[in-house]
Amino acid sequence: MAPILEKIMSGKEASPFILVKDTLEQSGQVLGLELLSNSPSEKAIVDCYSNPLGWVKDTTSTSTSSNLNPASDNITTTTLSLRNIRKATKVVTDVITSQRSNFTIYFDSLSQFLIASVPDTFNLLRSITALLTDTSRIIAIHHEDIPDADSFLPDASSKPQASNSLAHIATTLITLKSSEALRQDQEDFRRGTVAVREFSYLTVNGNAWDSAVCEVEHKRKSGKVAKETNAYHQGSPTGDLTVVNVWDVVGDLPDIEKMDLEESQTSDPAANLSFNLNLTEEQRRAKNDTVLPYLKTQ
Amino acid sequence: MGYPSLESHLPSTHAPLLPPGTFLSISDTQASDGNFLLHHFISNYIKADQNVVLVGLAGILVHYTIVGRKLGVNLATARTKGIFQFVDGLTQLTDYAAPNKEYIAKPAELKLTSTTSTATPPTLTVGSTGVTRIARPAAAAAAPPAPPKVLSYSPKLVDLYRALEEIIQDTASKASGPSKKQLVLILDDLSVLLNCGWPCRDVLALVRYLKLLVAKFNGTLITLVHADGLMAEEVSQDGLVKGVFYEADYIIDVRGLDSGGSRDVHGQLSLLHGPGYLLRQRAGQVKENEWPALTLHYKILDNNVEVFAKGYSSGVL
Repeated sequence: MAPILEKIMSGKEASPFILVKDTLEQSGQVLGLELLSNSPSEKAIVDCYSNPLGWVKDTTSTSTSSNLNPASDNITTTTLSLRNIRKATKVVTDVITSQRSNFTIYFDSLSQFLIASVPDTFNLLRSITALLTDTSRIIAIHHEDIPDADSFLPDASSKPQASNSLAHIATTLITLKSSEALRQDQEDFRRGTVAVREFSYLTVNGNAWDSAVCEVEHKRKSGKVAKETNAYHQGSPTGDLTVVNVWDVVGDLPDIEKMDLEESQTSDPAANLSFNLNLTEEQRRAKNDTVLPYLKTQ
Repeated sequence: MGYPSLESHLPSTHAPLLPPGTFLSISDTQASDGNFLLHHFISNYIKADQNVVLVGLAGILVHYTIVGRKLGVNLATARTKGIFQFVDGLTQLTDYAAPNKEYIAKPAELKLTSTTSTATPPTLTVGSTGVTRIARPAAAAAAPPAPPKVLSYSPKLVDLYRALEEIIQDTASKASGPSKKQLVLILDDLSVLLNCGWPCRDVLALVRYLKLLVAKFNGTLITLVHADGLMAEEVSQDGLVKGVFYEADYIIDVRGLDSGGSRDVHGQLSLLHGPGYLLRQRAGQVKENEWPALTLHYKILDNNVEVFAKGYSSGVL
């Protein structure tokens, strides 16, 4: 059976809202762009990157940091400031309604909106969700390690975490993890030691181009939830993504029962000693027949 | 060249400079100051006769001048030539300086007292002994470089951006021509802006605006930010470091050794791949092995920094 990630990427599994959660250690932008590549060719870019706070009055529209082909004919670009997300919502919904009914809207990333205002971001998503049809969808990258606007407030602990709320409304949640970090965890587990790692925001194993592990949680219309851990692999930095089994990338999990059995079958520690610790059959019988003192008084 | 042993680990496409249009983020900790890396790039760009704009938010010009001298770079001469500009972001940046504003003269208000550069013809005088002497006027004093620009306090960070934008545009317009010079903008360091009270979101926006502005002129942005583990519990500080890392194309992380202090190894520096680098790889914008992710050790000497592979310190071998 094909991995669930492959079915989602090829469109065999319908999903109106795909949320790709990533961190500094493993970026989800490569996977996000791969998911986007299966969308209709007509594109509209809403640039919320170049002028997020409206500091620059006269900006020329620039494409986002994705590798969209600038030579494509049907690209319209609108530059937006994120000072007022409600205004941005109006612009985005207008762009959607002016396009064909089957659209794909790609956010790279939602964190830019969430750091401005969490409620307004959710309202934006709700407005777009209201325009979704059977063939249209939302793909959003969310950097879960970037704090949102509520995190800076003194009563941040009393507010719901935006990351959890997004996971609830998404129909497919893909969490990216570094394959090298998991591989090292496996090695530590095999050796039985856990290396103490000093704090760092990013390690040298981060953002390897060749592979990444994807934990997929997909909610079907029937109500069933498919949970799988898949991985993707690339032959070259600019090559195509291939969905593979996670063990092909990370390595087999050590078989715990097998390890216990091997340990128990290690050589007898009482062998090769200058003294004898074993009992003969006669000695064992005599030991069993021995009546211990004070036993009857117990 | 700055530190020769570091050079081989940096991107080689435009060595000894960084590739234009890119953003290098340097992070450090209290145990290991990453300031020494900034001097490497300042030295490289000046020796290559390229433009450097250094915004000193945590240090004064004298500090950079003294270190530059040790690396064989004369920042005063570079300022006179117009290829090095120092922007003072330390002395008047906060409103603490505002009450004393009237006592601190802004550079624009200073009148240069140096002589003009127009040459005066020699005068003939006849001495009492009848010998004609040609008295040459005293050589016109070399015009000193203009005093550094000072960033004054403003409650809005957009004003700081506008001041830097003016400087960058002015520098870039002078650099255009047959010998087009590259530009590097260095911010030392970003954590000061956070500590001075500007919100994390504004500081991140400033970094992005400067990155795009400098890239427009084919320049490079280099920033320094503090990334201690203890400070990670503070949301603003944590958000700033992560936000800057997400924007960066190249990341160098400087921190102390896991095992503690050492006489022969002062710390480790890690060349890291951020999300920006991965995307550039995907787009085919970087060569293979241009920026390998690895950890190196370093030792700071009097006028050099030795960078070597882990375990290869001269004190060990």
